[in-house]
Amino acid sequence: MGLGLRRMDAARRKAIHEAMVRLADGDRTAFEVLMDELWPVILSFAERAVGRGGDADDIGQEVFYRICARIADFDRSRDGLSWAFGIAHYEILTHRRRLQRRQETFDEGAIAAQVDGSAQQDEQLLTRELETAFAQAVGALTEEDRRALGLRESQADAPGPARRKRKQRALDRLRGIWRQIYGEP
Amino acid sequence: MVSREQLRRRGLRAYETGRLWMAARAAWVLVPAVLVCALVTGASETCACVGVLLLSASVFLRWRDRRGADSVRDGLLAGALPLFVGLVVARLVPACADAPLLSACTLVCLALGLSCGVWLGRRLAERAAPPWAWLGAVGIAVLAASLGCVGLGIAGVCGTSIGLLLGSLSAQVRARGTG
Repeated sequence: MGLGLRRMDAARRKAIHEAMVRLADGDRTAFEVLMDELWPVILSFAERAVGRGGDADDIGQEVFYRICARIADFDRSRDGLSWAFGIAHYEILTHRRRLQRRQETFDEGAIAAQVDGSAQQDEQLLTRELETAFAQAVGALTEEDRRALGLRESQADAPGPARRKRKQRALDRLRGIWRQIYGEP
Repeated sequence: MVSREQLRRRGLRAYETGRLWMAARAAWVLVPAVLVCALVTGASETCACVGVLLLSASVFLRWRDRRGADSVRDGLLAGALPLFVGLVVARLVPACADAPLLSACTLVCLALGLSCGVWLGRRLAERAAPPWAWLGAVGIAVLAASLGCVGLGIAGVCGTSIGLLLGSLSAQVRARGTG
């Protein structure tokens, strides 16, 4: 988002904002201006976020239609472009979440064989994000819990049933922490 | 990749739908008001008729543009007091419902409509509203006031409506004269 905002020149930004204000006021003639000025910006933003291709087009269109649908509620005291980027950002996050869910559902190996380079990059990014999230959740566990889960070497081994119980409790705590931070199991 | 024409068409459709939803939010205020009027006055059919007219006009004006939305807001504000007073008077003085056209009840409604009309006219003059916006705002105010005055009979409705019309017109004329 930062790059998109920095590269935008002031005149174009102003033109987008004014077109949005006019459309919010009900002036339909401003629609052409919005298409000319905002659509390329939204598309390039989507391409930067998810890579070139069908996904970027779809997200770009979805964002554009959403902006059009919500423009009647646009608050003129806000910057139009920032408002549009807010919607775009949300759509991209939704798209990533959808991808993540799809990844959880299907066999990862089968998907990897079918997807193209940009999708692999997405997967790598998601994997990295998941790893970071997992490390954060594990970091919130106690030393004892980490040992019980086998994430740390333990000094003395407890008998079988006690070890299993401890591991179960540590897993429950890890799930609880995950839910607390990310809101899903 | 979608063509520019498709993008324009779908974008415009989304825009109009969005505007319609925004305009339809007027129902959150109007539907309960119509229900209250129908319950208090017992004239559910008349209230429903006036309510449908009021809701349609409000949605259309709000959908049209911001000036229309401002007209609806001002009209509803101007019509709110006669609506409330009309309901109260109908409850307290049931004889007003059968009062002749030239009666104290009509006079009270006329005076109330006049004062609210002056306020509305001044507000519209401050915004330099075009004639159609003035007409819209007065129409909304008359319909809103009529909802409350249904229980006062035709005399009450006429008195308030004429008052609103004359009041707003005089304020407009005066504002143009001084401006």
